[in-house]
Amino acid sequence: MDNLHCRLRIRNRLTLITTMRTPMLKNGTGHGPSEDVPGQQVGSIVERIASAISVGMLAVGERLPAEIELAGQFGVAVATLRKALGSLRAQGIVETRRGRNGGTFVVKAPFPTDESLTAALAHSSTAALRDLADEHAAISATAAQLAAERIASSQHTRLAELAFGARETHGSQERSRADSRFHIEIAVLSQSQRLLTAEQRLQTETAPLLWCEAFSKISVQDTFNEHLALVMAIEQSNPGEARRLAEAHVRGNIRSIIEAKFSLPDPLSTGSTS
Amino acid sequence: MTPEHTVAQLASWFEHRFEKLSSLAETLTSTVHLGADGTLVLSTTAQRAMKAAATEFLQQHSVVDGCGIIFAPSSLGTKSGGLEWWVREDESRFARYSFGVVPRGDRYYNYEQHEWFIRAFEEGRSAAVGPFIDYLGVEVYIMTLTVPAVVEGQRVGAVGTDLQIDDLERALLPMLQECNSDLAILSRHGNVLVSNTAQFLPGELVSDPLPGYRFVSLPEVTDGIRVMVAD
Repeated sequence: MDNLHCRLRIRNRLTLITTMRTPMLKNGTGHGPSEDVPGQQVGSIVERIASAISVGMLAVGERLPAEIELAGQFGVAVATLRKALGSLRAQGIVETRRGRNGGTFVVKAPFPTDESLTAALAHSSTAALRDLADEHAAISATAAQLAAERIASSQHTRLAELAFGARETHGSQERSRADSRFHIEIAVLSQSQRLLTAEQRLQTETAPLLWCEAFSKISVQDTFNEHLALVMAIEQSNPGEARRLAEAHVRGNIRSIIEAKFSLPDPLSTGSTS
Repeated sequence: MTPEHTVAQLASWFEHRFEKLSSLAETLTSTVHLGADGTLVLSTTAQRAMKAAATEFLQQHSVVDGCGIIFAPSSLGTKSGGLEWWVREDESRFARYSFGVVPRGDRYYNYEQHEWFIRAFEEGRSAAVGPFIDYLGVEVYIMTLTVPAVVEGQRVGAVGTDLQIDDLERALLPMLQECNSDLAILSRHGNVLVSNTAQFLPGELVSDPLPGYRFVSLPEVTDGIRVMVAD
């Protein structure tokens, strides 16, 4: 039932994605495999799927619909769609897995440029960002609490190693990735696949904003200290403390994103960057 | 049925799983040999033989979701890892599964840090690990059983089988429901694998027996699996 709901959700968004017009398709009809040069078609599908992922319309962790269905949505031959997926796979954006739970999954969002992050931040209202914090806090706090409840004292975790590793990274992209990886590991340890999926999606939305060097004011050392405190609460099996620290961490992060928004040269700009 | 009877049934069920796993390990390791420099020689003939053995194994054991051999990078003489792993697509179709084996790669599956690998390869014993979400691996909620992979007397990695927690429940719940008291199967760390009561759910941790319950250990080969039984 969950699967069905999920697929319906993805289908609705795909309708949006497939009907978004890119300049490349402006002259073609976009219908019928023979109308466009196949190479152009492949390029435009790659571009549309990649941009849908980068704006969060398709989230990391989600499974794409079956090839036949997807080809139908885009109005192209299955062979053309396969080439597009092949290109996304080569870029490490999607991954095709075998097995009963297999399929093609979104595994990485193309990292947004400073310009697009600045535009996205200017676009997001403080109410929307507060709402993001509300959901993120609910998910991350519960994941941290469950991890603390479910890890035995005899069990070794990689949390401390991931926290130390994240401190040693450089640049927006690397920092954002390592920070996300730390929080994803907490969700893995919660033993909840649904929380893990939600955490992956929320990380894709927040981590690039948090670590964007163009406007971020976040301190690597403060983040590291908060991560370590969280690791201790989880490993010392203190669910209440883990929950409290995780929530405070998420809310502090989003507050810092909102402060960054206020200090943008034009905090309400509609983004005339491109 | 008495709890003693059910515990005995569970013991033989898990023992049987490890017996089959050991014979799979023998078959898979017999296809490879060590080269002059002491590292593994993995020919295409060997890979074909492994594929045949693995798919036959999956065909025969419907509770198993995936199986294969995982090499220690040191025994391959490389920095990258190496796995020959097959997964079930349905009752009769199986596929090779590929993992991110390049260190520092985006989706690197660092299995050398996994308990199921450490216990089999480094400690040389059979291991039963889980339940856990195999993030970056097969990405499902599983328990993994492993034994050491030994070639010409040298440990080269681990041979393993994955059981999805859903399938484990489907296989064991009928047995548990025949029992006239509440019980839960726990991993070595105390996480619930399967139980016949809503009081203990898969993944939840039970470190000590709750009042009115006691722990009964399963045989040594199960790596510390125990059953919590209501008195």
